[in-house]
Amino acid sequence: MPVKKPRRATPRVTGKSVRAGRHFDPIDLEVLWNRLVTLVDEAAYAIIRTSMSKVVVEGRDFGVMLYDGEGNLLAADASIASKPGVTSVAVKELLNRFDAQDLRPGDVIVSNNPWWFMGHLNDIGVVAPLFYEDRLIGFIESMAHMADIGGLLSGVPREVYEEGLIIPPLKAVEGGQENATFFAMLEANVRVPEQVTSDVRALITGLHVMQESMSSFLSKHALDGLTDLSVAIRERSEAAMRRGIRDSIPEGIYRGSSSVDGFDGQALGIEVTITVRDGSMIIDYAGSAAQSPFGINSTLVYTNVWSLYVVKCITCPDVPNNQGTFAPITVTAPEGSLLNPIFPAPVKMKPSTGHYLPIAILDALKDVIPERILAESGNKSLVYLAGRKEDGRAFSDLIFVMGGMGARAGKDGLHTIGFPANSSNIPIEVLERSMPLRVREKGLRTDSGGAGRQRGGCGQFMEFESLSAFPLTVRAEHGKLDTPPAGLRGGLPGAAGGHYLNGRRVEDKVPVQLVKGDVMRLEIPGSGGTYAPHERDLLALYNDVQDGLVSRATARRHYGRSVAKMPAMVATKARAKVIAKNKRGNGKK
Amino acid sequence: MAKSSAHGFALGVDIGGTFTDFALLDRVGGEIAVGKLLTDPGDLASGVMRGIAQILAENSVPAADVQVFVHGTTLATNALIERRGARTAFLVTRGFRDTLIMARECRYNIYDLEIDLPSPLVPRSLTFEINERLDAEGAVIVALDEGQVRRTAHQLVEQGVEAVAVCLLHSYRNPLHEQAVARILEQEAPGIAVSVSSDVVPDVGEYERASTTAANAYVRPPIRRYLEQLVTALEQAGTRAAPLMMTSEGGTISCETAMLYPVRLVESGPAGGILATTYFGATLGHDNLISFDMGGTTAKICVIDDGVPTRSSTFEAGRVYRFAKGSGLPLKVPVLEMIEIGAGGGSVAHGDELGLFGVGPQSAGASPGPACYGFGGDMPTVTDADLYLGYLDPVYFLGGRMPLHRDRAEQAIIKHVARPLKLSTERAAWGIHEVVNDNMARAAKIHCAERGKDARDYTLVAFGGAGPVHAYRVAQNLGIRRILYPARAGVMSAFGFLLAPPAFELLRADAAELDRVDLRAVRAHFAEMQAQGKALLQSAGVRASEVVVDREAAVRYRGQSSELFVSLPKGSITRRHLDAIRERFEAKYRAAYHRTNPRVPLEVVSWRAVLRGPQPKVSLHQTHSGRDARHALKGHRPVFFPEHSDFISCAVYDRYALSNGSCLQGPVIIEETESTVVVGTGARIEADELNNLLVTIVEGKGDAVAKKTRRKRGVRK
Repeated sequence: MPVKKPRRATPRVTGKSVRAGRHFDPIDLEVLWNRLVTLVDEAAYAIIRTSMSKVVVEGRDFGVMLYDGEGNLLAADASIASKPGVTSVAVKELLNRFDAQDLRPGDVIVSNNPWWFMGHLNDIGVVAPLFYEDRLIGFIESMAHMADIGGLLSGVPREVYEEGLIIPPLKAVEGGQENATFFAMLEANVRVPEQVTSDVRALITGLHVMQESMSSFLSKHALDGLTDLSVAIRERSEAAMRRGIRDSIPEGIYRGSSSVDGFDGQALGIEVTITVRDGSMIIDYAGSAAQSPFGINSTLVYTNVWSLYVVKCITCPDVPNNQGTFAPITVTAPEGSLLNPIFPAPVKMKPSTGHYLPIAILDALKDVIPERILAESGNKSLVYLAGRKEDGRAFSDLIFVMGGMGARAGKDGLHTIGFPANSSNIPIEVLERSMPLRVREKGLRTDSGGAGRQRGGCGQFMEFESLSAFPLTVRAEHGKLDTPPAGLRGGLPGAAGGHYLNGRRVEDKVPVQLVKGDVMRLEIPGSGGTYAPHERDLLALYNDVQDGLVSRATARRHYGRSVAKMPAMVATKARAKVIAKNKRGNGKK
Repeated sequence: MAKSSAHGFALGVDIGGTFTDFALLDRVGGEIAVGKLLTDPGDLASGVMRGIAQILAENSVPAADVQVFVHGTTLATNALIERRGARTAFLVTRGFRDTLIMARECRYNIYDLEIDLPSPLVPRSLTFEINERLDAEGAVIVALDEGQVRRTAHQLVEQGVEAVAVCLLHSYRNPLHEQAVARILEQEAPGIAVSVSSDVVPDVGEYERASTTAANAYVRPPIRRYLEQLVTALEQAGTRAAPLMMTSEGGTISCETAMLYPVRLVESGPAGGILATTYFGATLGHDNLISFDMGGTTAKICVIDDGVPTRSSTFEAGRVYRFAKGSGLPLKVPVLEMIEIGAGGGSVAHGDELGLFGVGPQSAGASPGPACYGFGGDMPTVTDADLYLGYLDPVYFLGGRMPLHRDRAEQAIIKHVARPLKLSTERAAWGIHEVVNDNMARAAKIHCAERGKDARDYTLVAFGGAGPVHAYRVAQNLGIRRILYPARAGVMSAFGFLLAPPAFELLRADAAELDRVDLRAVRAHFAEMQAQGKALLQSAGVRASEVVVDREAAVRYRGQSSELFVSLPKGSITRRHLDAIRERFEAKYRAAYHRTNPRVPLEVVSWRAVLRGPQPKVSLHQTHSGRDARHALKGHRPVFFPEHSDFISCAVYDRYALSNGSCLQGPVIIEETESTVVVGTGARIEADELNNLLVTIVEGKGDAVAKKTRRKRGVRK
């Protein structure tokens, strides 16, 4: 059993173009393809239902993937997880390290190498070989964000070693038998062993569910393996993505930029050059900041996640995720940069960088396809909470506090909706039951949605108080808290945010300790508006003012409208609308 | 039908979006008469009364002989979907004004940048914060500011509010603040209908509870107006039966209860269909059923185990996006669990030159509708494929009331599927049929798998306009051997209403580790629920001695977010019950996930009681006046069957003319007014005395794609 340190890997996520496979009738292929995705989805649902942590269930921070025998991604869960796990290079890396002869039915390999999976140690992935009629025909993988992985809690780590337990690739299950040594090591190194080991077992359950269903799928369809299907699926997907790129973005070279907050107040630049040619895209982050001594580095797999995500939204949202879908897109970043750091760089807070890559990409395309993109969003704060309950039992969990989602060309932004990363909140009634804290208030921030013909979505405030006799460690991580999310095409920026402890500002991403009675307040940014505010529909503005989402002062200052006169104007306008509508209606007849 | 009888008649009336259905049952003779009228959305009560007068007159039944009247309506659902409810205000704990707007802060589709979320029922400007606070155990942290509530009440009156929803944090643990708010509102603003969350749905989770309570408040005024009109009209017409209302959980409640908890009326129509499915299955000796109701835009699938439909505690009203989970308003109400997918006669097929192909979930709806309707639709739909393949008769659609255009169907299939995919028209049409079947079969299969069940052990029960056309292939796909096509499928829901017992589900959320459950508290919860439930059932005419109670616990491993429901043994709650909970939970969990988690403690999240009155005894005795099969033969037409890889001349029968014991062999087409039964080669069809059809699939496992891939492999070898 080779047990190696995670070493610096140079994963190339984008494969070469797939070879031409055996012909499948489009209808048969649709049926088989759907069935395959369903098998993956079933496994994902099994994980959700058996998981123990809010990160997985509420945050949907997990994924399930199916690979063919060469390690090409064939299908990923479609509807459940929060992001495409499509960029994991774990299977390909494992194929480099393990002799296929060493893999037996009933084996499950585990690792949390941030350069393979989702970019930090909290993400544990398990991979199982898929056997059919005694032949190795593919691999299945599931990964999820663990509520805790040990490591430094009271300060800011400078190396991945300080960030928690490093799990080299090893067999967590061998021939169907759990590796007791592994589970004992895991339990001893995390703060909430019951939760973490249960979640690892939930991931393994997901693999079992898929293993069983895959065998019956193959025998039912008399397929001797996945190769032909894999080729056909990837071919179709690749062609669809190429067409999507051709149809939605004109050829050319586009440059965009964004930034994230480093530590000590300095901003770190993200530069992107996008080359669109002949149905393919190269997304190059050359010129971006060098890797940080702090854990905001985004490994290349994670850089891929958010780059590919936003490209898919723009070009080809409906085609399922697989290696073919993303084959036309190449993502590169210089080694040693913030977006491709070198081991043992600290990476724990990778979302603080990764979540802003879509902004740079949208920035590059904002003049090319203005009608298809949205103004900058307020993202969300990830809030890690760790401490002890009254009975002394440790808890550690992560909650999400959403900012606004930016205005679109023709629609307002959305209030408190995470973009790009999707997740959900946890009910206050559940939160207060599971942790010794009390939420004092939580709501929309007035005027945080940037003014515009289409208004940005509002961010939120959330204030909570520690009720714990033990210290409560809170680390709220946003990444770009101090910068107002920009508007687009004449729309104004939304409000910036801030994290506060007892009214005093605390630095983003830096842990603080609360004692009983301390109050933490999170103000999450809103989002940008699109087009000039004075073009906003008067009735929409009037409703915003009535609803308290836009203050009277802002209505006057940014929209140039006096609220005192509004009801009469709205009434006139509404009447005019009714008259116009009636006229149109009559015209039709 | 008999003119009168000692036990009188039962009448079921189901108002649907398009039609209102009537089922009149002679409770002694067991004969049933049915009727159908177009729904008049402008004046529901008059429409219902017209239909009642008509069916009574047709059958010479005096109004006074109607002793049971069960009614279901889409009024509540439509008011929610179309946002046509009352002007409603929302009262919430200070600091949490935006609970309804922020919802779960989640997108249901991560790739759609143009995503829309359902708009809340109450605008922010009609949301008011109340000074009060409870902690997670229900203890008072900030006392209720009654003066402020009073002032708020006055504001509500000034604002012209008709209904109020009150949802205070943690009120499910301690309802006293909400109850006090309700009292004050009733004193200060007596005209406003108040719904409080601890009464409507005392469950943990403030957003879902608030959303449900808001929906309840929002539909109360329109439901009350409608029911008052209806009751008066019924009295004037001379019926003596107090109307019972059908609920989403497949029970009936009195009109008074319905006016208090109108949110319980959503999805009552489909619940009636499921009860009728269960009934027909049982009369033929089948207890494990999958009901398959395929209409114009969606297919609804429900699983019935051992004669009991699966229940669920949440429902989503008015999904805004392609029937996607998460795109509607969550309602925590007991429902007969149903999965609904975007697969219906109107589902649109699309193919392109890349070889990508799919059917639905987009639907052509009724307008422009399928290409073959000739209303201007140009996209090929499932109905177009069904017509092209010969499954539908162009001159006998809806009994001949609507002519179909086969040439338009063909052109649409060629233009949008066959040509871009380089397939024959036949292959393209069959592909549309096959893919939509596969979409439905997969949904059913997952639904079974989630419970650790195997779809092959079930009988498929098909109804709805398109259900009988597709059921045979869906059954084959699932490995199901038996299909039941119930008679009078067009009024399944209205008939199902007559089978519903008075019933009401209640719950108490009081989470505790199983080993630390406070038995006394649990006993008190059940005593309270039983007292409340019995009172509600009594208003529906049930005697206290007739009430039956099913008790359940919602259980999970500590830390999990989803629960399994396990039933409790009879008797006063003791430690023994807790052991039973553990055993039953572990058995269920193992069935679904192939493992248990012995080291993690179990947690009971909530307790629920379902109270039921007596099940109406219905036994149908109808000598169906058909003749033997030879006389039912209408003729032959070319129909495509994949097992022949071609159109073959297929016999077409008139369902109504089939008599008891008639026996047919597939391939065969059996037509009735509302639908067409299509059965492939190698199946046996039997008609019974009620004109139900039971199909046994003799030959062939698996479906066409599986067979084809197998064949291909054979060729390659």
